[in-house]
Amino acid sequence: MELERKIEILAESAKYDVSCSSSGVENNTRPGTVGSTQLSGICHSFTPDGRCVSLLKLLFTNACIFDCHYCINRKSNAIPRATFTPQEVADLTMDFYMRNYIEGLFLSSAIIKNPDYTCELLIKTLKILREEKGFRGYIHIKAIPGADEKLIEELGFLADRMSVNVELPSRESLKLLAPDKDPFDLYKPMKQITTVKKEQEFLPAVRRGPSFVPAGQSTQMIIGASPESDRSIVKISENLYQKYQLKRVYYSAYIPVNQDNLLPAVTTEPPLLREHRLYQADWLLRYYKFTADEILSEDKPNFNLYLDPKADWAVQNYQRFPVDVQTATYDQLLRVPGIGPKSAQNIVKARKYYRLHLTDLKKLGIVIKRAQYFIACNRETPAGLIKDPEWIITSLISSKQYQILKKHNTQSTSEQLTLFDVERFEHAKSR
Amino acid sequence: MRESAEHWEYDGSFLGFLTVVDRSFRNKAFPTMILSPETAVERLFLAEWVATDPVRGEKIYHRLRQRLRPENFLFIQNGFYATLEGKERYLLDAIEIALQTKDLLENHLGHPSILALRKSIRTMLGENHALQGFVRFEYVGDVLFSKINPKHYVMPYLCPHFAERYPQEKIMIYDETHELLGIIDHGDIHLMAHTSCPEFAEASNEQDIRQQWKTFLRAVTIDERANYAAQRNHMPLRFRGNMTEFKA
Repeated sequence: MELERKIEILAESAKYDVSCSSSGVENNTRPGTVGSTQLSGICHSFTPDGRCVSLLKLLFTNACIFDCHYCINRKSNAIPRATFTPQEVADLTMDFYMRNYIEGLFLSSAIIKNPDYTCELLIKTLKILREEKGFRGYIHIKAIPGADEKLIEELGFLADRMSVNVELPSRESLKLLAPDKDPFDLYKPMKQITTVKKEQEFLPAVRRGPSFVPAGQSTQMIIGASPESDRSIVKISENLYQKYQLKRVYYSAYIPVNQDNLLPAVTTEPPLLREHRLYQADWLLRYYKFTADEILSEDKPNFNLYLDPKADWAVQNYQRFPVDVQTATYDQLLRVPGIGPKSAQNIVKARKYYRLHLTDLKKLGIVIKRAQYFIACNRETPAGLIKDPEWIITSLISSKQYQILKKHNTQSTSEQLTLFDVERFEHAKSR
Repeated sequence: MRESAEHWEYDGSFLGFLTVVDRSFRNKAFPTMILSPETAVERLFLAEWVATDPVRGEKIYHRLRQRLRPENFLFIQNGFYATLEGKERYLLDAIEIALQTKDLLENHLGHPSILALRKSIRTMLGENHALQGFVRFEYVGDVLFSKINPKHYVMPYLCPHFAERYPQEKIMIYDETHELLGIIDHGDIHLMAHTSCPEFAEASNEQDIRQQWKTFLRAVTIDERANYAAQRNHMPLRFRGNMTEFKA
């Protein structure tokens, strides 16, 4: 088969893997003659779906022996199949890398023959890149669940980031939709990576040569193929961040690719808004020091799709506001809608030697339109605002935004929160 | 520092600016306005010409290196290369603050000059970061060649990145906006100002690889998620002219 056709088939098969980041390597100690990594990662292009292309994202093969219901590459699907050779992948990576098309390689694979064999093929590919080509750039590799521990460890020393997809947010869904996969097998490599990385930390600080998965591990969950609530998903993410020190949990809105009576119909729209809210909650966990229980509670297990989780929290805890920007701590500032980590830091820096005034805040990067209901400055609050929670909610959502949100809303009316009076809201926005 | 009602003009070089620094600190007064060849044409008032004094300039350079924290010195340097009207006047304020404090200039964000400088430094470094990804090379003979159209003066920041990435290659990057050619030869960086775009005897012949790249991008796109606004926000149209994937 021609190389270009293979690229077409195997990139197409890999596109539902979300992760494309090239960040996280702090000190690149890898030997080699070409390539570098950057802590923040670099995006090289953006596809028309608005997603970043940083890595050459490929499946080694899509000829899978498994039959997972949600997966486009399940063995019972009639799609074209192809398999690369290790040399082909290595050559293509270098060709693209030298022209600055990509930041490195993202290599995943379907299970061909058995997990160990698949894993060995991946190792062979990475060895050509690292040893023959002297490549020091970024490599993200999928750990193959069920492969031998020794193989996973070898892979870990060759790659910068490793990931195991948990695929579905609960054991029950996994059993139903991925009958060939053993849930225990999924978490095993994840645990192994965490343990080996921890052991490495205790080794003497100055070491040469490659370290084990220097950019940490990530995972991915499919949203909307199974019936879990938003709360249980956020809880799982929190658990993964704390227990396995994951760098990222990715959420992927399920796009119906297969006709299957266990799954949403093929005509269903992907729940993109729900995915967006999950990412917002994820950011709250990682950068805003929220806990999962603060974001969603047991009696409100799903997101308010009209209001982002941070604003939602702020409105429900309105007794904690206003926060005085001249005296509040960094953590308190972070909780204000319209203030993010960057602008919170700006406030802390700016007030160190100078006295702030409400008019300075815009220049420091604060979104006044959102923050005005929640802040004060030297005991002075923005004038002329109505402090009624319903009014605040109404003004946090513009009418244009409301129309868009309404279109994207995939929740049924029974699932929706009764946080505010939708009818009254509609009326206010139509005026 | 006192502010005098004077207007000065200098030649726009870094040494020229250091001469301005020398003179204003000796006068114990900052001029109201400092013009460079780029900004002078738009002004009505005649300004006093400050001739660049390389000896004094270099002396000030070394003094500032000694006196300022490395981070603050870098802030001044970056600020000078940022695109910001009246940056020279802001930089004088920044130097005055930096000489009086042991703290980072960034922590003086409450001062309007520092805020303005930091904002434009961020914009410049932001464009530099974007270009680190969007630069597209092609082999012409054994040289990796690329053309860019940046708004800001990013070449001095861009070259070290590629020098580290491709330590065994010959690279040329041509900046059309500033008519500046960056040459990286096995990690050594040279900048040539006021040059025209280099002409190569042999044309590059990379049709296959370009086609593979386009095929790859087409294949990883999820049509159900089409979102052109997001694509445009992350990758503004002005970068696309020089990118392989957007060329016919």
